[in-house]
Amino acid sequence: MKRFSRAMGIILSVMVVLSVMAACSGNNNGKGNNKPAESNAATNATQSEKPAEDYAFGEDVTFHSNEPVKYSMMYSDHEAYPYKQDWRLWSAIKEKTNVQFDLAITARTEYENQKSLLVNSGDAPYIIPKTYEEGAFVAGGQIVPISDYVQYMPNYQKAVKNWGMEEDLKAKLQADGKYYVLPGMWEAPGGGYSYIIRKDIFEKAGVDLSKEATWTYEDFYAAMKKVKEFTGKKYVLSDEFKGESTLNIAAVEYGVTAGWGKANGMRFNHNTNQFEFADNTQDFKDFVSYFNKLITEGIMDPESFTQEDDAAKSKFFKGDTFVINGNYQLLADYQTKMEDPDAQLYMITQPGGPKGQLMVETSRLENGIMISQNALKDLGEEGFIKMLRFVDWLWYSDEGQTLSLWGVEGETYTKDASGNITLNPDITYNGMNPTATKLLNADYGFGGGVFAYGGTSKLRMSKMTDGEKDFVSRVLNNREPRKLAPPIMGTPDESEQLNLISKPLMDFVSTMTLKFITGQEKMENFDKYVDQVKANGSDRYTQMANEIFGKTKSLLGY
Amino acid sequence: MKETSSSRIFQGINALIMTLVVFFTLYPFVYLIAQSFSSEAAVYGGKVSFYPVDFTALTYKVILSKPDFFHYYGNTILYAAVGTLIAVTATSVMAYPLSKDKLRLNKFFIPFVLFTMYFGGGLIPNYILVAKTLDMRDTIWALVIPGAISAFNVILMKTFFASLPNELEESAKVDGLDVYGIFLRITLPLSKPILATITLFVIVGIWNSWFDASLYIQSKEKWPVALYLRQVIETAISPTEIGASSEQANQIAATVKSAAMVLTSLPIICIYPFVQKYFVQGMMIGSVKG
Repeated sequence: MKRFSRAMGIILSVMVVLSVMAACSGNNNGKGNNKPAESNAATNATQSEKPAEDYAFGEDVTFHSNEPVKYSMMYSDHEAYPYKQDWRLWSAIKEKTNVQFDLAITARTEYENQKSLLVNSGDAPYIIPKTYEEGAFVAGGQIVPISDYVQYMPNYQKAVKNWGMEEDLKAKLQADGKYYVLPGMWEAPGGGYSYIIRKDIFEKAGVDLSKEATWTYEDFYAAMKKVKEFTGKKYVLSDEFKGESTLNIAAVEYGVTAGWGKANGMRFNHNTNQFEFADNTQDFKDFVSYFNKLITEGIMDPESFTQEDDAAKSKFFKGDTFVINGNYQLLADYQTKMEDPDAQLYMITQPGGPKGQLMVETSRLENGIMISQNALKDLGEEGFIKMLRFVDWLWYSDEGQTLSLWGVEGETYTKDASGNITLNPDITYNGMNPTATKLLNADYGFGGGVFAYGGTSKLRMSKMTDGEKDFVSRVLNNREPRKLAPPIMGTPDESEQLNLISKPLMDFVSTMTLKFITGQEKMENFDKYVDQVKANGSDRYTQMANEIFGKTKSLLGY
Repeated sequence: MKETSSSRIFQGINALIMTLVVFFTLYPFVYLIAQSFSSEAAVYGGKVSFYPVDFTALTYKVILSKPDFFHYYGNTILYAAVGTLIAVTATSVMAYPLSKDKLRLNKFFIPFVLFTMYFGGGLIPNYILVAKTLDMRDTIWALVIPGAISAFNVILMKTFFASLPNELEESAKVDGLDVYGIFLRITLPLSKPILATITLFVIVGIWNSWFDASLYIQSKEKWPVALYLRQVIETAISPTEIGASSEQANQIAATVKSAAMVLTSLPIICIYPFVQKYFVQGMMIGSVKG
């Protein structure tokens, strides 16, 4: 008996040791393979002087491979336009470039999980689009530090140079000074979220909307007050997104952070080149006092911060409220759902505040593409660069972006002499040609989120209705762009430490923000709040952030 | 035995507490059903509690009119049927030899099985095994084979088999039955309670499982209904997607989640009363017999 349990003990321990050794040696093999490829990249600095390329590429040149090639790619399948093998999109890309995709199709809701799984198990396809957060994948070593290779991408370089993207790209730098994602790039920031108002009601209430582009939050308050007196309804604004969007766009004008944008509560002082904690300052007190005023005077519904989006929308559609937060796409959607057929929806320019008439949207970057190490391993250095030049054409050249968005000239759209694009009348997209039966995305595959993003302002405006074009130009003409804050480039350990402080700290700040706004906490206790925030680590965080910034200043150009 | 008053008081309080427990357990489900049959205005107004307000079956009509829903339902039934068959067969075949004391290697195998109950490989190694090494991606096997033998079920069955009297088997052996014959003709017919229990565990497990499908199934046609339900609840599928017109979409947005939930759990609820007696028996079976 004893012999058996001893024997079993020995067998089990040997098995455990063997499996651990197997796992470790597996990892070492993987790392070993990466090294030679990286040293090659360093020596391979010259580009188009190489002889006998078997493909055409270049700035504003259509990529075309002499041999047909296939690249594996992840595809996020949106339920509003489900994947079809016979989409014109695929044949159009093949005609121009001789490239086909080997797609790993995943439903949009499962996309992030699948991406994590495939990358972490070493199984990732070469091209991984729709990447919003690439930070988690850096440490695993499965993603190529693409900043080492962007020199080979002419259209990407052109966009960076012409649009002055260097500052924006700094936000993507990781601790090792490289970046790991090819971000989507826009020439100018978008309109973003703002307040959708009932223009008809506001005008009947005697509000002068001709000057709304220069409104501050105080002007907006005065206008809403008039609407409340005119209509006699319980509330004027009952918000969706649990108030997070409203708090976010208003916080910008007060110099603080809240709602969707609360992040780590920091702001960067460009005069002192230091980080500061914004959410326990006098600015913050003014910010919460403003919204507290809206609540106590019955202009804003306190349930804005707790109710489900559907409940808020329902009140707006019925005509019980007259202001709701949203972006222009939502406005187009809501216009069709209003119960009152005479309702006119209008998106006001985001009001300004104590810090000025600041533009809310600063980011010209959006979700982007990661390239997996499997591409380097399987294709070799030259094949890898060829693939990068294809990516460069499809996602960063005007020709590629136009194809992804609008399709094939003559078949789905027409272009006039000055380059303005008109969608064919029998196809509908984004509210254009609403009575048409063919859908640009569902039937043809164009205008989909995986390929169609980024580009010149002209391209961006081309898919907007007149109302949206007007909104965006109001924003761009009447609001001051903000200077970008540099990233806090901590090592993984430092980032972990910062996270540990930030999470409970910001949870406390969010809770107190709502409490001050809804009146659950009295304004007289603000000083106690300030001390509590310090006790929760805001000073420590600020100190660490500034230390890290001091170390990485030179990399960032400060 | 005469009932003392204290015993009656105890029974009374016991009954009261049990009723409360039943109420709290049932209430969420009653609320779900009530909500799914109410109008959207009532739901947003918070007027729904025990019974539907402004009764409307529109949401159900919309969900059931889309053929995809039935297709996913069929998928789930298929996976549940195949999976249960494989699981119960495999589990009983594994548990039977483990229940025989006289097999000496059992001293190694039983702790071996127990070990897997506490330690597992984790998500990534599992994925690599199923998807890459065994190449079962996007097939039914990825859903039914990895989870087929659960250590807990094996232990449960093993204990039950061990509790069957040895004399039965010995007399069968004298009559000339071999090991397989004894297993099929003597042991299994006597094991109906435990088989029903394991069957119920496995069916409910497969019916509700969406995570495995989200990992391994790529084609949307192969989705089980639980994964479809998850999409609906994530409000990824807006009501217009599942087949409503935009006026209807407004109305059913509030109730589409609860209606989908009711529809998906309905079959299990229907089966349960019939197997309940085995379930209660089965839970006690794992305990030690004197």
